[in-house]
Amino acid sequence: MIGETLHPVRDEQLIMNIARGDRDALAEVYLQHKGAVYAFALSILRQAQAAEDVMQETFLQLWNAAGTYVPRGQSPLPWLLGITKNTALKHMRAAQRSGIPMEELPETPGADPFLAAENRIVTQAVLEKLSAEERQIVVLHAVAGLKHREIAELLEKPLSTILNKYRRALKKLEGYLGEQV
Amino acid sequence: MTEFELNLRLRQEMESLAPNRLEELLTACGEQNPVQPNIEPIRHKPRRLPRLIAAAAAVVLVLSGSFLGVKAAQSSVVTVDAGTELAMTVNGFNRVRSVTVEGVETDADAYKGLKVDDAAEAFAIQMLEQHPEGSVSNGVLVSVSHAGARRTAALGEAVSEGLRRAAALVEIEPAILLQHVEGESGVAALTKAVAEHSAGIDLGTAESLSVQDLLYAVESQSIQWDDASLSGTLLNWRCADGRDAEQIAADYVGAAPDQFLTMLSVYADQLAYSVRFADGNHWNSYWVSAATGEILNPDVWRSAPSVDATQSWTPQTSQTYSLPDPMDIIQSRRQIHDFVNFIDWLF
Repeated sequence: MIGETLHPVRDEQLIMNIARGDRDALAEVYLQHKGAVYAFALSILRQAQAAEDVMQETFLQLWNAAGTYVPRGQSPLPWLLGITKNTALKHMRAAQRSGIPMEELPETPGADPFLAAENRIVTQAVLEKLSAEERQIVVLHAVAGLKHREIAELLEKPLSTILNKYRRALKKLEGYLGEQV
Repeated sequence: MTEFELNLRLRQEMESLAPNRLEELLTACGEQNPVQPNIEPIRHKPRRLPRLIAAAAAVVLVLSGSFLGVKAAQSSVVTVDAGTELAMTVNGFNRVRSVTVEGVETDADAYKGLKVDDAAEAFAIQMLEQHPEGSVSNGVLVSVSHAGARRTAALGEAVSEGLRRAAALVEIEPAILLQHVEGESGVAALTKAVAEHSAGIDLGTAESLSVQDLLYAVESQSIQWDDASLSGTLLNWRCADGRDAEQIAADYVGAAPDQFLTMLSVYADQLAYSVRFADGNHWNSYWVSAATGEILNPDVWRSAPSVDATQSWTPQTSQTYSLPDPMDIIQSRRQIHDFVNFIDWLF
């Protein structure tokens, strides 16, 4: 498993501390999980600035909603990413209502200097070559370290679908990166 | 670039891309304003089925009910053993109805309703995640019960396909033994088959072996029996079969013998080949680890020509000792086993 996971109980304790107004706990969770939250938002929106906004909004929601979290002896990361997903989708719907569909936003990583660097070739491949669901599955597994079963629950898809799409995504990336690397 | 490298690099890239706006966040966090988090799933509007279509569907269901009922009731049991175990009851539509899992941390209920190949794939992926050095890469036993020959073959093929898909993610092609069993567990049936077909492994010894050891015994000795088939090649074994062990032992001595007496058995709690061969007037006896190719008894490497052990199987002459043709000795493979034990007892 690539993704780091803190001890679930300790992670949950941090969430409960946040609920009691502990800013240090919020900072710790932020630094620990901002990469996963940002990556997941980017996989949905494919736009760096929008993903950054969603990341900030996710942690702001965490600050206000930590009291509603019910400890289950498991990592709260899937719960946090659930907030991210819905915040990103809300962001996307708002963009569509304003007449600017996300697809029309500057989404080409090559056009974004932040993503254009040569050392971000895998990210670029993920954003360019994979479908929306494939992007999300790969990011949730590789960056957030979620198990396929957890991804299935988060994305509300059958486990078999997640496995198939993950496998297909890997093949696409291997084919593409084989030419690039 | 392997899957591991790809995932690692993606993670590193994303970590470096994610900006650190912690100060800004902490500034924005004023007094907490408790709200329900935005985690409600998006609800899709239910589609209303036109009544005519619904009625037609109901008629079809009634008419086909008996067929579907019979099909659904045709349950078979499929077990996947690789040190860890997945046991599934599968209905006639190849859907998993119930499942038990041992040795892998997972939510067994998540397998219910999956197609059997998808369930096998999910299980294999979790094995690879939790036991990356073992399990699938060392061979898998797939056993089917409560099924006829055709059904066994179909289920076995589906499960094998799922296992291969998972293994392909880490670029391996596992060896899979598919067998049909009735009235006993898959491992028990395999154990019995190995003991029946191996000269150097009796039932008690076979019962102490792991699934991977048993699979190796089958492959290396080309054991075949009814209702079983082995596909793929086992990895991680130094000796593909007894000939590799013979070569290792001969190289160790620096000899080039014409004939060997070689047998797969267990020595020092591991699968090993007993390799014996003549070198001049000396009789060499070694145990070679099947897994590593290591000589397990390096200190006991040659017996004197007058060793009493030979009395049990060769005409004894005090002055002109000559080794017999090993093939003449072999009346049955069981006799060799007794002989090996006797020699070991003497050493």
